[in-house]
Amino acid sequence: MSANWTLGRELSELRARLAGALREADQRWSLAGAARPVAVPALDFSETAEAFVVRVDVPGVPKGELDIAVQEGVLEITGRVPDRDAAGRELLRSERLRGAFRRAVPLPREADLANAKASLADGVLTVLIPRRLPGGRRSVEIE
Amino acid sequence: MNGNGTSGSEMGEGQLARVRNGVDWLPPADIAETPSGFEVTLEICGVSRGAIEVHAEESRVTVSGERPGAVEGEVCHYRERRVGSFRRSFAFRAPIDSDGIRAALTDGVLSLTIPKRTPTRVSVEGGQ
Repeated sequence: MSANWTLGRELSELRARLAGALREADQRWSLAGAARPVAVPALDFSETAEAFVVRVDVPGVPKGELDIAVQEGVLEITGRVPDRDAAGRELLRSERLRGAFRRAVPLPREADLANAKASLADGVLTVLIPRRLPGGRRSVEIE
Repeated sequence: MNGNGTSGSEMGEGQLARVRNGVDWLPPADIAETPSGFEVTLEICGVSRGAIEVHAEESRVTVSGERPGAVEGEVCHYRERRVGSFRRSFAFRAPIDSDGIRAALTDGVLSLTIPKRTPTRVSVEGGQ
């Protein structure tokens, strides 16, 4: 494992921790009932030997409210949290996601976006993008 | 007390570390009041029913559990989703019926229906 790799990983972990802390601070001090204009569902990006994995927390969002698109090497996830305002209820505290959201993930060149697969379980959307086999390189036989 | 009728050990002012009260993360929650009770919904994605514990005592309801972290064979490059132990505690301004609490987990949302305790009426005997 090279020094660059370790540094890159530490930076990405630091960045993620900062993002988490900021989001948490936002939750703590947001006014009750105040609607946030844009929802930002939390996202993880990982890879295995065979694939890239994008996971997004989409609590309370049914399959029908999610849209996954692929364009020019970018995976785009859009969706909407269904309205849950009901008459006869007084909202005392509001921290949960509401409204429409969009997340976009630029993927490495070797991501085989045409064969991406998505699944939704327990409020977690998982998109699996297989790694293209090193098929760009092919040996040519001399006849 | 935060002026919204709810309070909890983790809801005070101050440092996040203190606020977190020894757990890794706090699931976001909505709290609503109806004439008959309170409705609390928490975002707890990727956690099975069995890994969530709901505890009620007096006028306080506590939700705790553990969200699994890393997946074997995966290298994570970018992480925003919170994992590890979580706990949230809610205290209500009206007395609650802790035996009547119902909990359901759907699409990563835990919904708690917490009825208010109906005051018992005691008729006064004697007199005229």
